[in-house]
Amino acid sequence: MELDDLISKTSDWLKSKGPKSEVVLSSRIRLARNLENLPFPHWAKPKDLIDIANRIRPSLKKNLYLKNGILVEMEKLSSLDRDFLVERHLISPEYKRKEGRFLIIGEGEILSVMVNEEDHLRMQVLESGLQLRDCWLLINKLDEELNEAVDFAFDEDWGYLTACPTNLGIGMRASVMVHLPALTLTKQIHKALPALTKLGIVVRGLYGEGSEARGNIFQVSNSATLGKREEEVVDHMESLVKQLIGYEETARKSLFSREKNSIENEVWRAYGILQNSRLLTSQESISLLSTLRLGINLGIINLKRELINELDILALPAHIQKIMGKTLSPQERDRARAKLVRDRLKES
Amino acid sequence: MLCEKCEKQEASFHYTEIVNGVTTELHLCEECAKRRGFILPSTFSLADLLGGLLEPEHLPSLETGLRCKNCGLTYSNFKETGFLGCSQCYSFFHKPLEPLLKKIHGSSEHIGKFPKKKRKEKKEKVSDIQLLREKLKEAVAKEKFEEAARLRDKIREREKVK
Ligand SMILES: [Zn+2]
Ligand SMILES: [Zn+2]
Repeated sequence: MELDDLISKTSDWLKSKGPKSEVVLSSRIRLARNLENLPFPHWAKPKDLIDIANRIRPSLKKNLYLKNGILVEMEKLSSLDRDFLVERHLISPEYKRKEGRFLIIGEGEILSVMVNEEDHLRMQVLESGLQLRDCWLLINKLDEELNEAVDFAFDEDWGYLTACPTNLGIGMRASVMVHLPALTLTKQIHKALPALTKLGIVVRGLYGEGSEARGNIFQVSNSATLGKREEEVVDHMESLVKQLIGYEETARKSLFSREKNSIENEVWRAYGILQNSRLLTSQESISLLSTLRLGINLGIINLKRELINELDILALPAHIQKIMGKTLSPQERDRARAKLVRDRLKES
Repeated sequence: MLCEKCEKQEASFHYTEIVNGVTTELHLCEECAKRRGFILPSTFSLADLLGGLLEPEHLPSLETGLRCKNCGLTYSNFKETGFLGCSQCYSFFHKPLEPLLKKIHGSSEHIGKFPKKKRKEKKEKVSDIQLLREKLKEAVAKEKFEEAARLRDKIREREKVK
């Protein structure tokens, strides 16, 4: 498989098959691991990075979960391809296109590993719906298997040693992406989110900064990694997210019963615009798709959630250009995006 | 409800913590919560945390001059970037890092998984605190939160002893 083969494929986590998919888009767990005594990437010299990559590469290539995957050497990547991988949630925007850095993507894009990003190893499991427990089981297996081949830097008191002390201990970041249109519309979001942050949780808007999340999509993650067990973090996060789902569902019901006409109007107008636009910015498409997604979940409109999830990603700038097979100006992108969305909605 | 620590101010901060499946609740005033390192800003950068912690009076010049003998990084290098140089930096900078970790995580003790090769040592550490855990469960069941918090701290201390 090659990187370009991904364009025609839908990432597993977008398939809307996991539990609680009405509210939860995806669950993700990342683990940070490092090799003993070797310099962390931020300070390492190019030859150190190449040496570290060479030590890790063989065990990743023969790994049970990754051996049929795609290996991407970062220094060979174009900046468009880098943005494409960022949009697919496979790498971070900070991941440099330089020697000694590579990425492995497993089948269905469920598992992936970045080598020499902030830490020597950043493993990731990404699944659809609320499945943190499942993500943990899978990533733990990968961790155990890799640990057979390489020794990880570890201290009995401080746990897994990471480049930045904010990840020290379990080195684990568990995140859940949630769609909260009703809490946002009813302005309850400003009460719900600060309450969560007091419980050891960090909340971020997915597209854009701060609490004003475009598309009403938020990412909820654990903040502490020391003094907690992995399963404890997973359970804690799952129960908090379930509470959040409860709030969102209540808000949806009351919103629908109070403002049925205007919600129906909004949903069908969003559908109309998406079906007919000749120019569509990615901002506009994301917020209209959010309205459609709410319409599906309220039973107003009969479309597949998977299609909306997919369009959310396909409508992003790098994806549009990969699909068209060339770099495009912003205006050309808006035209191509409008056409893509029209075509996909027609097919459905 | 009054703060259970100082018993003077109104408890505005209700902290729930789950340790090994046991839920502990603490009701504290803002000041006491801060002192215990419970309050973290909702989104934080390491620079903020370091900025708050590494003000001149907290940082004797001795520590600024600390250097990792394995990779050569100085503590000032770390302060400027937020990145340590290698795994051994953690032992060379142990002293100034300990309070920083408490501030970031509310703890400076790893209780999560161990790599396979080191799991035997962990078992010995765990067995003698089993009793304390039972007591903690009981205290929580009876809603004796202050006692629960004390027991939790004790367990953490024991976990330090090798
Ligand atoms: Zn107090
Ligand atoms: Zn070092």
